[in-house]
Amino acid sequence: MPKGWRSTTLIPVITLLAFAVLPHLYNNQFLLFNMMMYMALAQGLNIIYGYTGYLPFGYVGFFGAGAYGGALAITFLHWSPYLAVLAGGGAAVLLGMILIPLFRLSGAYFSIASLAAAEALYYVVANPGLEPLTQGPYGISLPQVYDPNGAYWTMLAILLFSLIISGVIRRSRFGLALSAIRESPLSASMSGVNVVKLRSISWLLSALIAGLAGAAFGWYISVFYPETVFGLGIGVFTIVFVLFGGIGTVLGPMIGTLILYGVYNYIGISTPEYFQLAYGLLIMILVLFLPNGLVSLARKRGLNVA
Amino acid sequence: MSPDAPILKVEGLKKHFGGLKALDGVSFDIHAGEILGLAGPNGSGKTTTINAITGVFPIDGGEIHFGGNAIHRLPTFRRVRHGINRTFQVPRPFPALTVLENVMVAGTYRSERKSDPHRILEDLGLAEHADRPAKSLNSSQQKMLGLASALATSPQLLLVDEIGAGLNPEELSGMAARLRSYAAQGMAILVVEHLMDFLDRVTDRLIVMDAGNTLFTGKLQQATQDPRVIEAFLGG
Repeated sequence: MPKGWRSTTLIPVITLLAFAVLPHLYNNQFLLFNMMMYMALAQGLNIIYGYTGYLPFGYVGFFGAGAYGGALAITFLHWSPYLAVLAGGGAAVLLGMILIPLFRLSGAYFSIASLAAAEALYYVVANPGLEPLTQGPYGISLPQVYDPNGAYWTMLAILLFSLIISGVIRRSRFGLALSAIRESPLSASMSGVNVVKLRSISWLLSALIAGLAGAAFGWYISVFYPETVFGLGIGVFTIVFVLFGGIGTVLGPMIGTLILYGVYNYIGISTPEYFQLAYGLLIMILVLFLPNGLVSLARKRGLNVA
Repeated sequence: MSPDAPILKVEGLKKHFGGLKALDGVSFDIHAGEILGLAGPNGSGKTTTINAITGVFPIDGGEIHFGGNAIHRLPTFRRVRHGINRTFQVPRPFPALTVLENVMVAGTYRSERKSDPHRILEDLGLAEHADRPAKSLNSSQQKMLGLASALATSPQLLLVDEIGAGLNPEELSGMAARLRSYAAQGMAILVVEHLMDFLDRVTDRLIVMDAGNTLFTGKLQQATQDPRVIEAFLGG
């Protein structure tokens, strides 16, 4: 196996072992679940942002669409939660297809338009007039499928899926073409790359991962409100985790999530009054000294980061 | 398509930017193995012509036929896959990718015409820089990388936009020889250039443009005697 592929394979294997063993050593399963969820979201965001350079501020919209897509499949179609998670992924992909015209914009315009789209979806879902369907602002409840263990292992599977997809993209010709799009869409076209098609595929893959994660999250907590799954905090956390670790790599978003979500749980819960200060300082230090994320430290030492 | 038919036929090409007529009915053709020069004062429409042929923007009128097929409604990547490519006046590499990766991007899609990126880099003297990020190359090396990226798509028509600017006399001679050898292998080449000596060395035929129109078509030596060309370059 080539060296690059070996390190790409190692990350999912270590992740699998860690999250399979950790519940036996640490009793806060919800924290581990959320850690996996943010790692999966970070990989999903990395596919569209890290490889193609489009940063969707409204990435949480796919997460929320997945949570509601899964919940509606359970409530109205009486699907098993496992199938409902797939339905959640499908709902996010459908939303991604509807939003493809956003790519007519670029840079900050794209980012803000995606945020507006996520907010619009939030207000649609939270509309009291849709109470018969989404329960509007009163939240959705899924007691009939409550099974934290089942949801935990499903989230682990989603995380592994996201790692494999991200790793394959990083090492493939498809990934090289996406990196070319990130660097210069015009030059990529001039190298024969179908920019619109490849960008759309990466966008939908990114949406799929967020949708699957959203549906599994909805299943895990079993009672949630529109603001729980469309809250901008989820999207902001994900973006910060990816940036902190280093975009365009598989390892960077994992390390970023591990450290920052760990810090969040340590400071944010024990001394919440200092949390934003600590986070703000960390991000400032990152921007000033490591704008390409933690993995750039390894790159400076000549290491090839997976 | 008959063997004598031109590989590229441009008819009545029009492009407006607001009230400015950048191209106002430009027509010309190129045959396989021919090197056609495109000269003219700044703003005469030379680069706009290349952008129109490669589909960087839609045209407002006229037709472009390549290999007998109308291509003016195709997106850029389709035109590239049909066998058209270009270099940019200001090189536009993928800065964070390595030199080799820059050339390998052309191999990310299925094509009948396969090229060997290592060999292209070797031919253009970039092999020793293969693992360096493109942004670390100097400007003339970046120009060569632009040419390498274009060659990686195995073009039948190559549009070269001021590739001579910034090259020293030795590099210019090398570039002229290189373009002539590509043409000898059947590639049609359109050379946009301000350096008359370079145009004289490489082109078979010259078009002089002014204000979006074709002013002159013929041999360069005749162009230098043509009063319309002299007026366009030196003013009335």
